[in-house]
Amino acid sequence: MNAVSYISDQLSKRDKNGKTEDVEDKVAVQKREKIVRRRSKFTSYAWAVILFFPQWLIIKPTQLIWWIISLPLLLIEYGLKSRLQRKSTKRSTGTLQSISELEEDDLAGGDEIFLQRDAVKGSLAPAKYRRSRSGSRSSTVMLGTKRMGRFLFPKKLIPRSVLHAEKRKRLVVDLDETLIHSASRTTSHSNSAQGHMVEIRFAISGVSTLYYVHKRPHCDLFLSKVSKWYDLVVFTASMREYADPVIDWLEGSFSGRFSKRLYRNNCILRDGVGYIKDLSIVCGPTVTLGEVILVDNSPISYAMNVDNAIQVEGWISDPSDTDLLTLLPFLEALRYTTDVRDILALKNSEQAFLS
Amino acid sequence: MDTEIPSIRLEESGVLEGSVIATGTLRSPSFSGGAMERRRSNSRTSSGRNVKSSNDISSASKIFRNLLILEDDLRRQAHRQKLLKWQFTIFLSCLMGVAGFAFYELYFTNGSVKGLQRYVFQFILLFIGITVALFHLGGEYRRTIVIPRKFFASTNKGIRQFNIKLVKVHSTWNEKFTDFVRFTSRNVAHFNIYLLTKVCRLSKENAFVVFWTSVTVRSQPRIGAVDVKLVLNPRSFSAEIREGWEIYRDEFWAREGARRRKQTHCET
Repeated sequence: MNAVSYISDQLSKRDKNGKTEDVEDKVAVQKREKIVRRRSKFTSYAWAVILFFPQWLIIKPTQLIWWIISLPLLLIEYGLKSRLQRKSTKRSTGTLQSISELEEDDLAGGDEIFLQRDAVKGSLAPAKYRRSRSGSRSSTVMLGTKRMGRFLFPKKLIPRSVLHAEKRKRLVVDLDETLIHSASRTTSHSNSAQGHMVEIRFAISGVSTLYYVHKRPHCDLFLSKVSKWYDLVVFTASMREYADPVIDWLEGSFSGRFSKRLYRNNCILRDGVGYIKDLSIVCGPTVTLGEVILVDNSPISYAMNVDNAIQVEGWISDPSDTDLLTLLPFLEALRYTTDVRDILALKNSEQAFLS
Repeated sequence: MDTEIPSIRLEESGVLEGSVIATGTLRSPSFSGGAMERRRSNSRTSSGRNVKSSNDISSASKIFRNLLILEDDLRRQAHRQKLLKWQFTIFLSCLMGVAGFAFYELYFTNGSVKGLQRYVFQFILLFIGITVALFHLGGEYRRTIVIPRKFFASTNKGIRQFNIKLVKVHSTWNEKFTDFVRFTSRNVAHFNIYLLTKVCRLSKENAFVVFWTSVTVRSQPRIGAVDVKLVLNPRSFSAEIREGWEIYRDEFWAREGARRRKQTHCET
């Protein structure tokens, strides 16, 4: 405040002296600046004094330690950057090529890798990388001899065609001893009283028979879950007159429906062997054999399509059976595969790799 | 006459699908030992053909690719089940904690609780008791706690016939620590980006936002077989195939990780 009053006094004195206004203004501004500079110097000194010890005892040592710790990282980063720069200068096209989503996302467009057996250790090692484009595939030549051939890597894990297509894979299920078990009235059954009663009248003979039908444990849960993932088809080796009421009863207990029903007359009878289910009749114009799964308890039924089958234990009366429940995670995972035969053929162990 | 029909049909379907005829013949039915022998010889010739022709995708490659898809979905399921189990375990233990507190206050404290407080405690006890009973009777306890706990055992029972097995991968302490650091920094970064862009209304080109975005790129979670993986049964598959599968999987996920980082970089 003293300084300000001094300046104002001086100014008033100079006014009185009658000097020109411009010169006075200049002098006043210079003086003000001087005062401000002095003040800022003072504050900076004050800050320096306050911060002296923290800065030299804490901040600077921390910076030094951090710099020492991060030095290797810095060196690596520097090395990588210089290497990248060298590469980018070599390439005429540019550094990063954006990934086009529309490109073929199946195996054909991926990169490939060769595996060669290490002669000393006997283990496999990637011998050679090759980057291939779908266009230049025809010109690539196989190098080295390997049992498993070359590996191709897909661009996407699940191809777009499988993930976004509205069509679903088909799950063909057997009826007797897989989903249900039925016994005629005459045969004694431990819990026949609780079973669902179905009366079957054969049109040809006119004889009617009463059947007690029992659902396998977790059958409803299985069907309701599976109907969300697959188009369900029921394929039974039993006769239509018997199967239809049973299927109707099953359909009443879960939200979905069977999209197709196939009976004994759709099976192929082989003398001395039994009824064989030919899955090619389940395939349609849009559904190939690689998208059909058969769940059956009898190996004879799927003898023609071994690589499409999932075997379950035949069920009669065991109340603690969990086969249908244990299949659920596998079936859920199987719905996105490109060809179910690749996975289901693994039951033949190494034979699957030789095809 | 009957025995001839299926094989012809199969070959036809193989041609229609555009696949190699050799595959069709390989997948022809076999009922006797003799047929099995024929099948093996067929497969050998077909594999030889595959190796020679360079344009065919090897069956190993196709199988491994489908195994990858299978494994990824099983991993997703395992995560879901684990989450379900933890959620409901915490929920139930909270309920039991509150019930235990109410029970203790009602019957085990010296100065007995009186008035409205007593009614409140009794109501809480009764309410939780009924909830737990309904939870158990409605099958929710089984669905949310019993089945997720048995997930690995039950899945392995289902896939045993295909000679594969789902196993847990135990990560070392430093991997766990890295995961934790990544998890924390990723979430902090997301929170900060949210604060800066939504609350402070900063643009995406702002230096702070760019910095936190780069943090999210650097702290992406580890991908691949880090916690759950499929292994081929050593009794059914040779060491070469099993090793090939491991290499294939690791290589695929390494590429996938690189691709994701690259994509995020392009976006930023």
